[in-house]
Amino acid sequence: MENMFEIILSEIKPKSLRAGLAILTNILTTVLLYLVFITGLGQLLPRIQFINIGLWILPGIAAYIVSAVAFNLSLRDLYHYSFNSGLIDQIQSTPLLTYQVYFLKSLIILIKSGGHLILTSVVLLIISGVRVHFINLILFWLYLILGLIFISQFGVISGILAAKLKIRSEFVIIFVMALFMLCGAIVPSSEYPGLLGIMIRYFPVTVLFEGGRDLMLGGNISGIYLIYVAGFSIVSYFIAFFIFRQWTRR
Amino acid sequence: MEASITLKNVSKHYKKKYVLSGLTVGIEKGSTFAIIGRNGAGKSTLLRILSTILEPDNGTVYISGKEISKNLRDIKKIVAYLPDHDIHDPWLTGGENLRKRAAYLGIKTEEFQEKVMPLVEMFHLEKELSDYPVTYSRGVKRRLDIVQVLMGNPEVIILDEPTMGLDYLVRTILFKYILKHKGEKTFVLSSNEFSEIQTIADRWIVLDHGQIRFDGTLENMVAQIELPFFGNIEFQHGGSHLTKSLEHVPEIKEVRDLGKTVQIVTDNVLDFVSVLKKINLDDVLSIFGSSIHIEEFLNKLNVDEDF
Repeated sequence: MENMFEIILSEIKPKSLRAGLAILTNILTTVLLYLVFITGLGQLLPRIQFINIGLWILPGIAAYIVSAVAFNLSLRDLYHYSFNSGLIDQIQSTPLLTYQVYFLKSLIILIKSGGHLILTSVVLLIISGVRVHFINLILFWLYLILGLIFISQFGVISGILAAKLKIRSEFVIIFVMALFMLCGAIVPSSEYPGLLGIMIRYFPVTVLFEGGRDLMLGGNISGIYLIYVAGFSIVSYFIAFFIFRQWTRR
Repeated sequence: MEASITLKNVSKHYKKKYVLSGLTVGIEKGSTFAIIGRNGAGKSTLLRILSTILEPDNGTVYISGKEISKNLRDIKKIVAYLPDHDIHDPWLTGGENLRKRAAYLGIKTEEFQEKVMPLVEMFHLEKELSDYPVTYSRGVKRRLDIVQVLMGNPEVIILDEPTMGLDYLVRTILFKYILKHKGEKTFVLSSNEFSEIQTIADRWIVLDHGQIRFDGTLENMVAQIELPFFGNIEFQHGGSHLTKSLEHVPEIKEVRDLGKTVQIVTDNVLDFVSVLKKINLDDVLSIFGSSIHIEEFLNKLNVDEDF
């Protein structure tokens, strides 16, 4: 794909107003979640003997926001394409093969989500005044980006299924936002009792969020977490690609 | 003549229903080939298979001597496809849509002016490029999509109902483009307008329930089937007064009162001329006629099972 750079540029070339609104929304969302979970909840949590609440929740908020962005981008993208079949024809009737089209779409969503990840993290660090080791921050970003692959593939599959089952995408988003919140973004998975706790602990999003927190705060991560997220990303990419290919042949 | 496209026993079905059934046809290189048929006849499915977007369930398709399924990458480089629906992103302006498509086609930024702008000018889109397609009329949207399809300078151009929504001027521009590239590019198009097919197609097929019911040229068709002549006489104050008086004229097979216009069906054009001689033409605004009417032709094909 010699023209890959041109294609990516044509797809993500920011329009001043649209890009400005995306940045503003990201900053506002980050600040609001910071206010709720660090400023607000931070007043209560010391009473239940939880220390360093700000530091602990910070990576969770960043991971939560950026996962929501990646999921929504891919879900809305597919949903948008489902109801404008010409859009997929516009790309399918070019020299690119389906796997190349899919790779580019995934890469573009990853680039956009990566931009949001950096912005959210920087805003959180600025408003909280927390200082983390730069290497830890880079490792956190890289790990999150690896995990965003499966989050966005999950979005692709959900978008196709929602369109097929004629479910409005908003309902899927509400459900997934709650699910992400459950997966250790704010409350550690170890706090959930019994079977629920086990299910949450081994859910890939939890492994992503909690592994990200370990990296940002301590600079290290369990090798199993890393293999789990990488493996899940690879497998979900191929499953989503297979579903996408079937869907484009309809 | 060298074949540009060859279909061998191509079938496609949806939900156990055959949309295309064992099609075998060859399309000459550099020719203009038309596919006609009623809605649901399988025209769009056939065009999507030719454009490589859809795979047939059975059979083989060759383009420029290469089998599609084994040479997809090479074939996609030479084929362009305009579906019967929009192929632009409503969230991008016309210009952004063209630049996006150019990037996918491998047209570099510095080549855009040279390769794309002449087509933009040809289809009078210069003023619309900075607007979003949602503000476009149906015809302007179609022009934008036609430019997207032609901009890669493809060898094989597949057009599904290309003139849908186009005004007379742009229709003529498109036909001129097709005629200009005759012999050099292969055009495959579908249309319900038989006058268009007559104007530009070298050869055409009639699809009916996924099968080819006619394959040939205008000359073949006229030689093989007797078609009635349809003469339309438009009156200033309506032609109902004439309808009854013409009912017993021997040359006339049928008279249809269409308000201001009276449609007279005769066996041939000469019979229509003799009918004209019997009519007072003082109140007449216009007279026009055609011996080939797509609906009548399809009806005739359906009645004559051996055709």
